[in-house]
Amino acid sequence: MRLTELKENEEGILHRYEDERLAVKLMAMGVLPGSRLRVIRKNAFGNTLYVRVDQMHLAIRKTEAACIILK
Amino acid sequence: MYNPEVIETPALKGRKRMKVALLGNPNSGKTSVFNKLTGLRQKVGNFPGVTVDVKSGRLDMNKDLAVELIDLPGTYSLFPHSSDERIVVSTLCNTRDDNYPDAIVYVANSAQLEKHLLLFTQLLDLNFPIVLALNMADVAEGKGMKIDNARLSKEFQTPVISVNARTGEGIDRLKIVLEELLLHGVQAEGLSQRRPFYELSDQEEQLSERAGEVMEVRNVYHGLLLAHHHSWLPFLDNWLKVSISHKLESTEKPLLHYQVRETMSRFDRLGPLLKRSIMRPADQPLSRSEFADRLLTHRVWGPTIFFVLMFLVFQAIFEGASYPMDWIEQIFRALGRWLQTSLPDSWFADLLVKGILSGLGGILVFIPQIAILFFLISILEEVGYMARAVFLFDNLMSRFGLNGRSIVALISGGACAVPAIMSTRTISNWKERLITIMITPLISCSARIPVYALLIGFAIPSVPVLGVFNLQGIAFMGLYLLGILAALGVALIFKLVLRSDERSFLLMELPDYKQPQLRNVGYTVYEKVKAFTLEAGKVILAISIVLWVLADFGPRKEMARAEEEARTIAAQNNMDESATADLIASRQIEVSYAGHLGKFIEPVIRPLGFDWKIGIALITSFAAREVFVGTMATIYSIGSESDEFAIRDRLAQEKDPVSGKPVYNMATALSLLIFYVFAMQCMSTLAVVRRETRSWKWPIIQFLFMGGMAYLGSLITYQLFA
Repeated sequence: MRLTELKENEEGILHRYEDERLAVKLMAMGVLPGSRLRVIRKNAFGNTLYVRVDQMHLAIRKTEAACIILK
Repeated sequence: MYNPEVIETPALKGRKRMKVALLGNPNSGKTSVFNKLTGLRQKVGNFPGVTVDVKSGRLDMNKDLAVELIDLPGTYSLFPHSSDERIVVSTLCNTRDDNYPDAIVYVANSAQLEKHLLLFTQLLDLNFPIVLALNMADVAEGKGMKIDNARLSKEFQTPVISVNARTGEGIDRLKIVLEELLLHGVQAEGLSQRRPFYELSDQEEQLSERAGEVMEVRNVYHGLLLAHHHSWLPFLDNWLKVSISHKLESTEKPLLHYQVRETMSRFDRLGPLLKRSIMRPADQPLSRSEFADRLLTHRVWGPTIFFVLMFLVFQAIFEGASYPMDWIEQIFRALGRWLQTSLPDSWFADLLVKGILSGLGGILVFIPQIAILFFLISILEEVGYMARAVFLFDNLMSRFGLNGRSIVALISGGACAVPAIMSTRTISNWKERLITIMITPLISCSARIPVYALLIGFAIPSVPVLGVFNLQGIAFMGLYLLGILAALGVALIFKLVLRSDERSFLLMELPDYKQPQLRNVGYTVYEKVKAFTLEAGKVILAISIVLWVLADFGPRKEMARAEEEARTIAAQNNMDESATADLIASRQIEVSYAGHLGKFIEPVIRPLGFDWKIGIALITSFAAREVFVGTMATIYSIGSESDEFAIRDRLAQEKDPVSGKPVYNMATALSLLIFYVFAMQCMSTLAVVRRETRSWKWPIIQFLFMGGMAYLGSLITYQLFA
């Protein structure tokens, strides 16, 4: 299941990334395998996600979020 | 090629002048710590080759140690993606870099330590003397966290200090520890030489060794970073890049793979380590920011609130700045009059009054707008609201090759493009920032209003439409809309034309809302005003002097003859002194260099419906659009103090000497309106674009494409209506 498939206020555990370049960047920000991800909000067209990662909040585009696979 | 010497503590090298780099993640409060440490002793420069500012400041130490603190861009790791982040790597990997530090102060947000220490462990492995400053300790405490600094210090074998940049708590202690570290190295704190935080795999060791075969490396991790980043590091010669990549050809896996593994393994070690040193309450309270964001990022309310805020910002610039701007103008006018009466009448007095003084006035008059915009924007930034605005508008803006933050520049461009363009500094993607800079002047700014008012009044009848609207008002709105549409259209073209190797990402932390620190806001305002006055000011002053020469000088004989003729006419008609002066000015501008230039370009602007008189006004209003009104007044010798209405009436009477038809009809006025919507008629904006892009290339391109649009737009308009 991908992060983009979550609806608002649903959560999941990060399993792996599909894109290595993105993985380096996400991991550097502390978005790690095993992190608990919760979609707080999607913006008007659903193309940008507001995600809670553990204790941190993050904005991420749909294209990038689609590379995040959840358990 | 190991070089053990560079690992020695700096004091042994006997140097007194030292550099300390300030590093940390975005949102770590690094800037607050920087402001608190250096106060107003900061200066802004730029990194060679890129348009990123480097802020540095002097640090006062007790001993006679001159320490320069360098604020490097906030970044998450030494595996960079944006140009800002690359600066950090190229500075720290190049032992000969001007900003190569003797030690590092690492700022981390106490409440987010699990996420904020990756870069720190990488810096540890580069073997820099380093102090870990745990910022916002009060926030962490408020969340019920307890951090064991002594334990952390032992684990990392480096000093750890809690600071609070808001209150200044711990800052003095940070200075003392830093000084000890600079003078005596880590041993002073009773800490031994540390072991690498991350153990390289065999393959990584090989990578590092191979990089080390072609150039000197500080230690094995430095070698690994060179191997990772050799393809873009600016300080490596081409042959070095080739020989490194040649040596790396035999590596089994792509370099990215090693970066993923290294990051993972660092976090694997950090996690348990931090668990031992930090006590967290079992149940975390619900984030208050998340609660506020239910409203502030709401699909409907979010954008609504944003536009209300932006409207207030716009009003503040528009209304709030008008009083100080009037004062500045009045002061300069009075100063000019005083100089003119007290100095003997000579070209020097003229240069002083019309060239330099009006140039200076033209610079200072922007300061209220810049100060107000940055005061409000940096409050929104400090609070953490700007990140939410990016979230709200990123999607819409990215379709046009822009960034969520671009919307702030576009809206404030409606007041004035100068501060708006300066505000694009926070857009980290270069392409998105450049496009924002290029299109912002197409948004109709307040300086266009007098020109619009003059010409709309001339061309468009004041008739009611649908009972409630006025045709003139609708025309006004149409011009604004035209500017906005043009801006978006041009953005699309630039999006397609500009190549960028930076992939457009949006991965942005939405920091917890916090109270703004007025000190930081104050520094931002001060810095922006200073940068504009000193850097853009130079260009504005130079252009102002050139324009003065053009408008006030002409071939000597012609100028004298024009004055003589004017005096004769005045004498015949019994004109009073001021009417005579107006007439002389009118006759002289005709034969001035600007007049000649106006006549010279007449064939080119004829198809637009403009005569040479408008040509002159086009040239002089390059100083600022509103100068158009004043120049038309001078040409028709109405006197420079008169208003739009007097000029409008005068223009209506102007007849073509040959055909006897009115020169200025609706078609001319419409054509001129379209011209002013598009044309880059503002030297201050060009000067600011030059400063922000650090080159003349972009302002010249902007001048040309906006000029081209103006010409075509006017041509079509005139031909349609004439």
